[in-house]
Amino acid sequence: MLGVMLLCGCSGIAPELDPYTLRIHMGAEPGTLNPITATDSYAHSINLKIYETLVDRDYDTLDVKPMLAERWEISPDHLKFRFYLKKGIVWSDGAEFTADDVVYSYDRIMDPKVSSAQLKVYYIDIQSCKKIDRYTVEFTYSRPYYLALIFCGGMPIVPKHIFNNGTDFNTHKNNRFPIGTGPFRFERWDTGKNIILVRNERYRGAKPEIRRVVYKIISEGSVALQMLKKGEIDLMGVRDIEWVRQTNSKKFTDNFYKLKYYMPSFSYIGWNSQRPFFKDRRVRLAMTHLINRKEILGKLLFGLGEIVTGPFYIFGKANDPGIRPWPYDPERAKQLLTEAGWVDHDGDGILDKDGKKFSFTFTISSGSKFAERLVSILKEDFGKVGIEMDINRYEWAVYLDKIQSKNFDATSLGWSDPDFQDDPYQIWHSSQIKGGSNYIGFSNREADRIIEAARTEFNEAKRNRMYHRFHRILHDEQPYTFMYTSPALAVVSKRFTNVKVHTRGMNYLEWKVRKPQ
Amino acid sequence: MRRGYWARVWREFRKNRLAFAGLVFVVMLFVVAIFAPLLANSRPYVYADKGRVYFPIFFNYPELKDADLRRDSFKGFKIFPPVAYSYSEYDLNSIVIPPGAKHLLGTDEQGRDLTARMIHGSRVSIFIGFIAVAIYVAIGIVVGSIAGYYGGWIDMVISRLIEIIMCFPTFFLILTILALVGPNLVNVMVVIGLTGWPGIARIVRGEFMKLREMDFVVASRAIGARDARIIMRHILPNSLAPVLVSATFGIASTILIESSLSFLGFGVQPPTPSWGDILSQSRDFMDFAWWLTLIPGFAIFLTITAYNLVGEGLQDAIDPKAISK
Amino acid sequence: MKKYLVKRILLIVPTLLGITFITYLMIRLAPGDYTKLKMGMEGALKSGSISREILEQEKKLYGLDKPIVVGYVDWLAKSARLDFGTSRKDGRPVSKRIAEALPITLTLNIISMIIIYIISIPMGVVSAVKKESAFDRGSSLVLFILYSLPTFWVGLLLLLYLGSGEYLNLFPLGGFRSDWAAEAGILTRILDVGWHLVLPVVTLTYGGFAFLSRYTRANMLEVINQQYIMTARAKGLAEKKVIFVHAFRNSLIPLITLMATLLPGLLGGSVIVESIFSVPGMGMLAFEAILSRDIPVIMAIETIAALLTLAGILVADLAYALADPRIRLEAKI
Repeated sequence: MLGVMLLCGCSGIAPELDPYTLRIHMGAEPGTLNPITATDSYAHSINLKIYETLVDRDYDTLDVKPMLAERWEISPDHLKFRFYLKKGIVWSDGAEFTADDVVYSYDRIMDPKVSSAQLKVYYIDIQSCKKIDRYTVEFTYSRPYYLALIFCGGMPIVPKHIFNNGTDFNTHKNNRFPIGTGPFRFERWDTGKNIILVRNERYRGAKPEIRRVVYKIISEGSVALQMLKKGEIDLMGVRDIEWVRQTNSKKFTDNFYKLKYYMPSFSYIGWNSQRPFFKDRRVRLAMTHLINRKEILGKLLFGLGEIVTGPFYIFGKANDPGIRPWPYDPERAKQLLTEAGWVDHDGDGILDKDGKKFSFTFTISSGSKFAERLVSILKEDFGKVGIEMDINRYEWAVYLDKIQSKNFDATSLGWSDPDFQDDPYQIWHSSQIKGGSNYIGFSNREADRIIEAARTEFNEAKRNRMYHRFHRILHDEQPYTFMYTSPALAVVSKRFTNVKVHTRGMNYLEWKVRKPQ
Repeated sequence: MRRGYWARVWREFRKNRLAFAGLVFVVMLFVVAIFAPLLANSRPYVYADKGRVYFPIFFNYPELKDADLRRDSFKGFKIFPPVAYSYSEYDLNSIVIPPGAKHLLGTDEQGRDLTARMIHGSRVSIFIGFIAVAIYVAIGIVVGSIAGYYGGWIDMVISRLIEIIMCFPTFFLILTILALVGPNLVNVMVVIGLTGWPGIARIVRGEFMKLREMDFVVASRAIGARDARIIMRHILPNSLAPVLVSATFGIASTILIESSLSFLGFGVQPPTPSWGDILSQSRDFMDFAWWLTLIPGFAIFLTITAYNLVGEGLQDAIDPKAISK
Repeated sequence: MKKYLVKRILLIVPTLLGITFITYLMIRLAPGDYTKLKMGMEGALKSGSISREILEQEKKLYGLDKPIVVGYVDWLAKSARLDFGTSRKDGRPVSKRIAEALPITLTLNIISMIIIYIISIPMGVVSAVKKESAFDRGSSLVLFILYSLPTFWVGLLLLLYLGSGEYLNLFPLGGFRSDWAAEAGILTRILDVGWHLVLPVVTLTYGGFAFLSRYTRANMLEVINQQYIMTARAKGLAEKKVIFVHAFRNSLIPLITLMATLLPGLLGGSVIVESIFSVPGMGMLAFEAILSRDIPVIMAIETIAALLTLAGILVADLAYALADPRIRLEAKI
């Protein structure tokens, strides 16, 4: 009894919550907050509030607009990009931001000694990044590309005066003490616990009403949800089952907004087209016909999501809404398999062709519960038409190794495109089969031509027409069975108002704090 | 003489009713595990229609491949197993339904019958525990008794080997080896078996070091008994008690290791059921689907307790002094 | 005795070399490496149009281009100077990351360990003395039930019922200390940590009683039946004295052996408990390092774990000899 009282007394010491503090849940701890070497999405979302780039994109229209640069000029051949920087911008330590910082950042990204391979990829086509004067920089591309402005204008920029002090860039101490130009400033990092930002009083623009942001590291999602309910977290993403089952009480909806919105992402099943089974278009199509996407969406995902037919953002213009998903149709599937020569000749219940049984392995990574449930269902359904399927689940590192070395028959994964780039080159161009993301080995001459032509097509309407054609080719070829796009599910405390969802998602810079009555 | 010894142990063991009950339970589990496909299957044992008799569980009839013979439209004579569901058969229209008439123990998150999954899951849980532990107890006893009995440089070399293996956190070792050889039931079993023995070896070695100085051992040596006989007849039975406790717990902890591996995503491959996997899958539903947690949890509890009763019974029965009493 | 000690300590060196080499070999042989993971994690596999050159550069940066033996020797040379390198995840010295995690794990596990020993050994002794009694049967039933309850389930339930405020609000929802505690006085800080530790310690201990108490019981029973105990009884010594002076002392030996085997587990911590209670300890550190193939971290943890285990084994062997004078050390190296 005494113990309990003592404990309650203990919790009583805790100071009152500051209404201007926003507490956000993070499922894992980022390694560094250096935008050049960091790879995880958590670091990215924190850095977004600390660091800025030359240009920004409108939260709703996605139009390119000034950020660190006040204006820019593009040469008629689309190769030279000259940015004029705003004057008088300061880093949060007071030093001035200049063209030197931009050039320095570019040099570090391309520096072989810097661990930034994931970024280097995007800047290979840049020939040079030159300082013209203190407030002007120029990027020169080796070939035109419609996303060039977004890439060079969105390049992460770090302060030269901080990092250029002779110590190793990869292990620099400011990787964990970022100094930026953005609306928030880094305050403290309690390893394994919190990352804390405070409002940057030196910020030139409108100051957000929120003064302090605490990112709380809680690896167990269900515990984080309890903390949210207890009032210790203000914003977190929830899983579908939590959205459907654990966030509907009156008490909950009185205290929290539930926000559901779509970002460009989709899940799919990739058929390795270099394997004998899936070389044939008819077989891939048959597989799609065998998957009851509607029912799985309704029951396993609680109806949260939309069936997709191609790789593009379903609310974007590159997507062709006229393409309907292939229906669930096992009869049609059997017919297609027979046409392709897969028949049960020897009567053992398993289809075969040229003496080879239709028996393949579905590779998934551990950690995705949905993939696990999906494949268990597929195994059962494929078995009914005489296709034998084994399931191999590997930890992520091993899984990646298998996928990258193309040592798999079929797999299930998702792609996301948080920056709304749309360019299908990385995933679908045949040049990307070797060492690129086209790991299923999709190769189609017309598709290649469209992808290449679209990269240099600066007229958006024309480009989207090309992408519609490309979308149609993918639909016919079914290199993937396109599955779903799933919404982001977020809950936010009603302590805040003006919580809006934009095309690019939420932006807490614009949130207001509800005044206590 | 030897035979007489084990017969005596058996007689002693049978006197202990609780231990005997434990043994009966363990044997029953083995029977369930071995005959799982006959106990829970979506196909009937026998199906007779239009003058033909089919045995769908035992033979494959291509003409029956797609047919769900449970439906009333299949009118022929049929006898189904006690649980007429297979462990992998899903039904998205009856997800997470509580125990009832249709599904005796309810269903899981894919609408699979929990009874069928528990029955098939016993295979993994029993075999993984029993075989892995059998492997490591065997290795541990052999290695430990050699080291403890002979001592000297043999003991030194073996002790270093034991130390090397002991220094690897088992879990890490399992993860790495599974990454190398691929995760499946056999590999998990063998890996646990090959890494678990140092604990047993240390215990046996310690017991041997203690016992070999004892009067009765010294005496047998003096009358010229061979090493093998001294080990088998005099020292080993006397050093088995702690080994048995360790081993029975080993079986239990292997079942729990499997469940931890499942929790972290390294367990048996889906859709193969294991009790641990059923448990760890249940966490999304733990606030309302009690059957998904309690049933596998209870099964694990019963198994562990049964193995332990057997272990303690054996220990009492083997103890030579207890017999002479 | 001295000679024995020196010999044993010298023998630690080759053992340690063997352990570290095997560890290094295994990580390097395991599929997937840090570089690939880093590329792969960018938006799930967006390795993109990675040119070979960039990949090679990155590999060189982390010494993955070198043959395994060379890599191992490099590591050895560095760690001989107590330089464990930098963690690949956050670029900080490995020693610093371990220095953050180790005290947390040790606090948590040592407290749990002490509680397990304090509760289960007396229970085991009493069970043995009153064999087949109601206490023996009842306690074993309860302990086995506890043993069979899965950790994650108990952990999450404890948090839900005792921490979430939906039922009771007695304990914090995870973590190791409160945000506000940094400025508080030392006593408040200790109380605060203790308050945070209650649930994780309960989760770590409840399953541990069964094994140790059954183990103690088995050993006690064996000793009780030995001749000298019977002799002591026959001589008319008080039963209590027989049990605690003669029997218990002799059943200590296997318990000591057990301690040594428990050491590596103690250090590794429990990934599941740490993750449920958001405690940034060694278990999480090691688990993450293994999954991300963070070689310097794995190697350092393994080395420390090995050293501690070897020390534990040595202490156990010595204690063995002290508890049982019949074991002569010199003969048994």
